[in-house]
Amino acid sequence: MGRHELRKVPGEMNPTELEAQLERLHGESFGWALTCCGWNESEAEDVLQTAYLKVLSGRARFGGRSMFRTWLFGVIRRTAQEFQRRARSDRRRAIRLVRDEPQAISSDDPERRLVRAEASRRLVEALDRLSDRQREVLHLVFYQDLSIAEAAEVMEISLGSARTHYERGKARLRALIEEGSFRERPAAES
Amino acid sequence: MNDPRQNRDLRELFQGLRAEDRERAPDFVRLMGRLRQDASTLDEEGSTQIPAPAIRGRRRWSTGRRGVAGHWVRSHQRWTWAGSLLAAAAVAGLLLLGPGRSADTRFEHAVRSFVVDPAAGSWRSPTDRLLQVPGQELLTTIPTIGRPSWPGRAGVVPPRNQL
Repeated sequence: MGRHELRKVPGEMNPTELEAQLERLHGESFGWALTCCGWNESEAEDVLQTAYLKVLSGRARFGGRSMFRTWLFGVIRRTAQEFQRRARSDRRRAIRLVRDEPQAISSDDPERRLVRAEASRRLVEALDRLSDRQREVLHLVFYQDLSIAEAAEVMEISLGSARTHYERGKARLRALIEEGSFRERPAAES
Repeated sequence: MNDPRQNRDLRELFQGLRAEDRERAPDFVRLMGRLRQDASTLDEEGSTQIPAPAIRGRRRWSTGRRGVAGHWVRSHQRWTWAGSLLAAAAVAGLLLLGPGRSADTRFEHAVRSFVVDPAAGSWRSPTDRLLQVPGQELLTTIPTIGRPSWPGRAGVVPPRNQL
């Protein structure tokens, strides 16, 4: 998948093909929607559903100028912004601490899952303390494996600006993660 | 700048998060089912087809049926109306202001009138001649006291040998 993504002109994309593309990218899209919604799971789901509706109804049209994935992420991001504008008055970004419940996670061995869940929780907490732009660019680069140029395209900012957010965000994220682990260590030992 | 070796620690953290998110992601089929249901409630014919020229054209919907799709379509229609009104206002404004109101046009007018002005100085009315009556020079010159009979122009002293 990745770099060999669909680049069709809009007229060639029928709803079935579009739906297949959405399904293929569903997991990644949900991760991106979570980031755009401050890890609010139900809001992310609503955002994703609305974004899919836009895509399938033709409200958002894929122009073939970029990869389908970067275009779709742009649609999701704008949809999340619309949701946030609507709910600005009572909006409160909160970290969903469902990550504290490792029993909900399936697959590999329990100890490893616990470690991973804890690391993820720390990462989410640290990410939540970054600016929106920094969090977005780091997510797109490290989570979605996009290049900085592609991230800039999704975020609708210049490449230079994306680079700046990336570098500063990365440094701050590292510092926050280290700070968090140092802070938590004595509590864990006691 | 984005050297994977340098950023392996962050990349691993993000990949862990990604693995967790994937497990928590809502089922695509269920999500699409909900989407279709929301979309079809907007369609009086009960069509489950998403491609939404059908949705796009709708102006009525059941207020009791709320969903993400409905909310989005309603807000979209509001924006369409607002956009149409704004566009109409903009067109009306342009028509009222007229095409010659721009700064460039005003400047062109100023330059043109500046070019025309010197010619205006030499222009004379066709009836200007009627205002020139005999003896008009008496009205525009100061008479000389004691020199009434010289036939030359009033106010001009005659040569000494003619006195």
